[in-house]
Amino acid sequence: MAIRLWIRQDKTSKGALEEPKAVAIDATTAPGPGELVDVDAATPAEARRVLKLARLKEAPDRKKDRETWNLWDDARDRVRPVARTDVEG
Amino acid sequence: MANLQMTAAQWERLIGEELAGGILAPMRELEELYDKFTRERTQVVILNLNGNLTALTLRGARRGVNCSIGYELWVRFTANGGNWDVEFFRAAGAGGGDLVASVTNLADGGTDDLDEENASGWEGSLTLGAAVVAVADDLFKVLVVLDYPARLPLIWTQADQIEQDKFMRQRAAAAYSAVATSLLNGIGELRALADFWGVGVARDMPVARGNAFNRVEETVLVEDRENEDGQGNVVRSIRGLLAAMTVNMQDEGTGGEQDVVRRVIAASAATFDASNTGKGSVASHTPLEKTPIGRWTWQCDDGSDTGALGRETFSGSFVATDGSGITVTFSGLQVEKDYDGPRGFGTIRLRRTYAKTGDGSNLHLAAVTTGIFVGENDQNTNAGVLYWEVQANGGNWDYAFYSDAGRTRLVAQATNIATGAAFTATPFGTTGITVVWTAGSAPVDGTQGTISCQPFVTSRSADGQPDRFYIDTSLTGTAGLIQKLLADRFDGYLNSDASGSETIEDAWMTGGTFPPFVTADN
Repeated sequence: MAIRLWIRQDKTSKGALEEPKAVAIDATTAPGPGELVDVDAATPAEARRVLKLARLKEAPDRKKDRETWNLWDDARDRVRPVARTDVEG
Repeated sequence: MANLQMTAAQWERLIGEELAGGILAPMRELEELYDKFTRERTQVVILNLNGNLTALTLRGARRGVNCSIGYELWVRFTANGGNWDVEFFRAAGAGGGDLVASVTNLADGGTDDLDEENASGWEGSLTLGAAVVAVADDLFKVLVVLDYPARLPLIWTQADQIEQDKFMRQRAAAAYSAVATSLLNGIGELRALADFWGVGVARDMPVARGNAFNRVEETVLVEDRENEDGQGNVVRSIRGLLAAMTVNMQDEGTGGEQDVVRRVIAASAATFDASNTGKGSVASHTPLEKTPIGRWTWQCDDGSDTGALGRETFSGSFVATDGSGITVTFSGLQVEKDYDGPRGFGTIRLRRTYAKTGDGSNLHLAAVTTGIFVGENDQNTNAGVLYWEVQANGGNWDYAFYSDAGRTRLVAQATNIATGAAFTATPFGTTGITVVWTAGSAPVDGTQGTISCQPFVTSRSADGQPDRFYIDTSLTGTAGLIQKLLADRFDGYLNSDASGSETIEDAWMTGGTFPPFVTADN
């Protein structure tokens, strides 16, 4: 099943970015600026893990760590952009 | 990991309409009324939506003197260059004789204390909004709401030499207390209603609404149980319907994550009495959102002076400073062990602060840190002190630790340690003490000194009182009001997010009750 995540730009009281938040599966807006993506996952927690893997800054080394590369490659297929939410809701 | 696959509307009906609107709303209203009959607050309602004032505190209300008989003030905002003059009047029309307080030449967003005018007796402060607009009419009003006990000396003042005033003050105070007590009964009824809604059963209702929605069979709304793990660490398990519901709110995949507005609490690093015998530290931490606001006071009730060196323990008490009236007592905090406190406090760890002699420049042993002793007690130290000596071993070093100044009773040693290297001095024989440290930058053969763990005592040398420390919990930003009520009255909390990003608004609980005060207390 798909989980729709809002990738947020606001920060916690300690200055770190807020974790991506699951929004309604048919949501087209979010409470603040950011990006909406769909992730194939059973739960929001799993969806966040898949998203984090899919959005690694550097691809894993396919030769040195084939397992991680496979997970990364699979994660990229499970994440689909939906919309940007640049206007605060 | 639940993912009930409920829609946002279904969650809103459960937590918004039912819990917040049907149970917490009347409870909050009674709480506010209880405070109105027992406290002496001066609260403020602003009857204008232009956002000119984001904060206003007032003290010294006297109806008919510095405000209207109806406890009203009229406020005008006049441009002063790029800034603002703010004037408070006790009547409409802005007559000079009716001016009672003012602030002059304040910028947008600025904060300043009020200046008393015409000997009005007003004190207070205000904060301007980010984009103030001029107000030159009588359409910006402030209502002053004074709690009833605060009114007593203003009504029956005896200033008119009326003999009955003293007796009226006493009798009215008693009557107000009786009213407050009756309100507690009402709050209790609503608490019972919350239990029934969440976990109760009836003859034709075998499963409560809360349990059914969350697909659990909890018997209480909140359970917060203390457990000691046998190693001196105190851990807590939080159970009940609210805990289960919090997880389900986090894991909702169909309607999206569900949350109420956050209540972020900060706990300070500990402050230790200057006259303590023992020395230590407790780092700041972020406790759970249900933690009350106030002071947590700890005192040593089993120390090195009562034979407990190495496992000194503290008990404590908490007193709220935000008017919630919450008090808690607790015990079982042990030095160098983890401690989870009641009401969401913790996890904290009381760390020792060590003191070294004979090596001011850290040449022979590294600077003291935490965790140097493991397994210290009365037998393997001299009241918490060990006597060290460093000896050359080829190009490396041997470190010996003794429990007596004569260095006859070896308790731990580490051999063949390189300069600057970390080491663990293991127990000699069955002494049971380990020393975890690091060699110095330039050890010299034969150098001696001491290392003390500065243990805590129940009767300190300065004044006979127990060693004591304090931690203050405070609110960061403003608190979500649903979360605040759950914390104060249920010792519970729900999944939460920053204001503006929540899915269950506080308005479900506050709407249709008493007008919003500038500073929300309940």
